Amino acid sequence: MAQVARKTNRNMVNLLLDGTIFVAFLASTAPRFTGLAIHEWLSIAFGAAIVTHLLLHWSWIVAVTKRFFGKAQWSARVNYVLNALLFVAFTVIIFTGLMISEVALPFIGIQLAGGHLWEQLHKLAADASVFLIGLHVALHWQWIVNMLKRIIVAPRWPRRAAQPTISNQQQEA
Amino acid sequence: MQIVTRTLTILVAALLVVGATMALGQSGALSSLSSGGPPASSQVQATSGTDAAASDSTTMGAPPARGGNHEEGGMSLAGAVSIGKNLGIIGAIVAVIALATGLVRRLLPWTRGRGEPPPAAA
Repeated sequence: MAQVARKTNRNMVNLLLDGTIFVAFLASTAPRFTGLAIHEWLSIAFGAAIVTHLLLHWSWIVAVTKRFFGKAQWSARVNYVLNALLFVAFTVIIFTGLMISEVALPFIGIQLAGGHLWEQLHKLAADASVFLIGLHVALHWQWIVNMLKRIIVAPRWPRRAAQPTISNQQQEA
Repeated sequence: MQIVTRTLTILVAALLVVGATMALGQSGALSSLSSGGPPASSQVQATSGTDAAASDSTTMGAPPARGGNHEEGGMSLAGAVSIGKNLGIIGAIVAVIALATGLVRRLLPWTRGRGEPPPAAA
């Protein structure tokens, strides 16, 4: 019983964090909407959120890394490669963003040369990340729907929500 | 301690990506990206004041016109449209994949669970 409660809590934390990351991602891809200052600071905070996300899914990362060339399911492999590409894309976005920063780094007294190359790479990685995020959300859609059902539908219509949901391990994979 | 080690591992992985990006940038492998931009000698100026990069920033995740009119304005209609566009792209991808997955699961029932495929297919 305690284990189920812990699993539910963990799922809730994941859903909240991932939802926040998604909203922050959308906001940070529209600097014309937020303004450059919020865009830059939000993106730096986004980096910290990504690290937290990875820490929360550490056991899955380690497990799939170990059996990637062995017994891993094809869906886990696809997910792993996609997540690795997302990690690279986000790292490039944050790095190139810092290279061309006009608000955040100058605020702490650092002025980098920047350049057209970093700007282009920043845009390219940002465009790629939108598609990769789409794929990432799509691959976890069933888990998202199940969690929302559990949170929104279950308290109102217990019978309707009493359908089997996928296991925690499956949602991570 | 475990969290610190894991965080450091993630940061090292990020540093590797940054190193690879910088190496690619300096080796000229990404020169096609910088072609059409300002010459190297004027790159410092470009980041601090021209609209050269803004004219082609029509892509989804494009930064605003750096040094231009948009950076301090905030909450423009173009920005809201950009968010809607990105959300639409993500929604379309989710819809297509969810439909495809549903179809595959209906046509190939053994893909539903976490179990192995039937012996004939394995």
